[in-house]
Amino acid sequence: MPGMLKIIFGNLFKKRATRLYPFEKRAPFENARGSMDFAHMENCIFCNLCAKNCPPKAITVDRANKRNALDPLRCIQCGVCAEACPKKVIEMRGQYNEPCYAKRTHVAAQVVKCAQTPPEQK
Amino acid sequence: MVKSTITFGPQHPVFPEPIQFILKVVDEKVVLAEPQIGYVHRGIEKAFELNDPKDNIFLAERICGICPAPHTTAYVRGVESLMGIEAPPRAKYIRTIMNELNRIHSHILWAGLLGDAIGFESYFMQTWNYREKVLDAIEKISGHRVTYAMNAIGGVRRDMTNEQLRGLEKTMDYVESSLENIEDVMKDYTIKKRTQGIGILTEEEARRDGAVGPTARASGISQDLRTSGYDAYGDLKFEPVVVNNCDSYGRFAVRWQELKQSIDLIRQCIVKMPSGEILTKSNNPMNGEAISRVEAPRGELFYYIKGNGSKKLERVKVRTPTFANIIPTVTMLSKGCQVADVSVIVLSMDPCISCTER
Amino acid sequence: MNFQPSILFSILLSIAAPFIGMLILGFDRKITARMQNRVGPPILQPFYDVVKLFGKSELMVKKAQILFALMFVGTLLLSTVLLCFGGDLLVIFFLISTGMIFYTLGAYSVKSGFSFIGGNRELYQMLAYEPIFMLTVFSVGLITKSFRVDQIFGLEVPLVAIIPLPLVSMMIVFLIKMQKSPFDISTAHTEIISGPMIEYSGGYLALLKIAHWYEIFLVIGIMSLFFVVPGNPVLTVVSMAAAGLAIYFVSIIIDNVTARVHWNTMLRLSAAIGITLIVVNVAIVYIVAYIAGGA
Repeated sequence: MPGMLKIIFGNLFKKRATRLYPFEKRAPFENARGSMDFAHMENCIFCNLCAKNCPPKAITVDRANKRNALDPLRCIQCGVCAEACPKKVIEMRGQYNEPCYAKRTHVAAQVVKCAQTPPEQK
Repeated sequence: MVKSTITFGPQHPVFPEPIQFILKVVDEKVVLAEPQIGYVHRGIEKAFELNDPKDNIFLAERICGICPAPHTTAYVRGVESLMGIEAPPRAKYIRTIMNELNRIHSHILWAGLLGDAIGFESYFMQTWNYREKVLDAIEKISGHRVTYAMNAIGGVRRDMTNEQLRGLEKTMDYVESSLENIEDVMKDYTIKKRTQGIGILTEEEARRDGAVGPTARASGISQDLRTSGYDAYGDLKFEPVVVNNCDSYGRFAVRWQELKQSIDLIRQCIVKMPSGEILTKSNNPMNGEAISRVEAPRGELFYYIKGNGSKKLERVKVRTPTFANIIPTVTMLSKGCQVADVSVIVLSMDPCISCTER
Repeated sequence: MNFQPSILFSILLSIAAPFIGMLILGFDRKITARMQNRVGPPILQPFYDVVKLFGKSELMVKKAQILFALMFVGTLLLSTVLLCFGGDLLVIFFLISTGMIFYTLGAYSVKSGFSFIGGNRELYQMLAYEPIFMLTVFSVGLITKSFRVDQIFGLEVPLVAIIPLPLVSMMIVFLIKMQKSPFDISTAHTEIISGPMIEYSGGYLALLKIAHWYEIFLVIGIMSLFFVVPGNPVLTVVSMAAAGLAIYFVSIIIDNVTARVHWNTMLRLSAAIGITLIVVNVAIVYIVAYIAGGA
């Protein structure tokens, strides 16, 4: 009982340990695996290694249309794709995925310089 | 004597996961307890046979949300022995550190849940506040708080820098001082009143019912798989924690001392950390059978892995510590406890139901 | 005798009573959160909860439950009004007990194991606190030579100066009534999932919450009667409010440093500590009076 008394009175005057989450966010740690991102699509060679190595099979590579697609709800943020990528196209970001209302596929397309209109991003 | 039936669970505030105990009570006294499991079966063992063995690591990790490190360690050790390879020493030390960090966070979580079960909310909040620092340490090392994804077949995926090791040492200092801070609370009158003499499991009964982990060690059985010296445990100095209380308070005490032991083990690991490779790559075929046992925070974790030379495994069988501890719990409950003690007794074996049912 | 609270004040107080209870509960949750190093809900959270509950659909297992919930609130409302108008303490006490009987009957009226055990525990709790409560009321009656609340205002010194120990015993009653550790056994959510309240839903659950606000006001009100400063209305209001809040703060501290005990431990503790203290204090008062009278 006395031990707890000391703690609760200490807590009364301490900075609180919890955050009001959606308004205050903690900065992610270095090397944290929050979410996956096709960061450098211009380097992508569509080798399919990421899709082949992905444990939950969340990535689909479309070589003909030069597009990669990620199903964020299947992705487990393991970072295997980022390790497997020979051109370092894929990056793990520290920030976690935002909560979402609908299932949506995240498509990253390689922008071809000579094309008239770049393929639309969904 | 009016005998009534209380269905304790599967939805009950004290159980984070679904398990049901059908209690026959007379007034407030429990005369019979029947466990019902099978609410969260997910077919993971079958999925092991369908996936690629190296993808299975992430599957094994998702068997249990609280102890992913022992599950993956047991799995990769089994596959490694099928392949006939061994992880490099540095990888073994990193695995040991992750396992011990896992044990620390799991035991602190358990202490908090016990506080919640006996209506001690401030203890619950305080311990979980300390646990948060351990989770932060885990995230700094592995990149994620819950699913570490550290183990790979033949080693570990991420190396630890010297900076991370120093940071870990600081976290250990913090955790140790916080535990000392809150240690007095264990001697509180009301906590003793609620745990001492509650849920008695004698040594004989523990042996007969096959109790494992802290549940067995609190009954005076010196059984700790880490003494078999897998991974880096062979190089480290430690003695299994054994307490002779045989009650819920004994299980509390065992876990509390194991927390300190784990902190000590991590410090030893940091000092003895060898340098070198962290991954042994191999494409050997997986043929034959392997049994791999690891001491999870809740007790002995058992993996049986069978390969038939093809790219996929033929059979993976998991036996989790909670499964072994359900029968001892029923023994404890059937001794005529009060309804108020059911939650304490069930919690004292630290149930992890989604582990058990996979 | 010379000081009578005005009727307008009494009416206002009886209307404000549940809201005072609600505000105290809100501050309780905030302070508890701070003690546990959390942010905590807004102060008006209990109010929002009740408003939301009234908007929910009601699924009652038995019609009888509704009657018992209404009777529970009704008796508490009546005793609050009596307290605000300076009525009879003994009647207030019996009304509160009647209310608790209705609450227990509400718990027994449904076929639910947890509700049944909750009802049982509620009776155990009554067994624990009723004697203390009653003896406290009696000791107040012995000092003031009447059970009427307004008689306390006619005393020469505050009650706490004459009988401080029953106030300590009343702390046990307070902890039980406020459902706080170590005596929150009837609504223990990790054991019997809020016990007597488990089969209530929607507006009727909200009624029980409002009844709890009344309970807070009543018990704090009765305990702060010990701090009436006779002949000084302003000081009386200040000291009663301060005492009420201080008592509540102590209960929050006790809630945060103890675990829940078994019902039999509660019975033993309340009988041993609560009743002894009151008897000792009353005995001392009489011995002192005897010596003073003899001298």
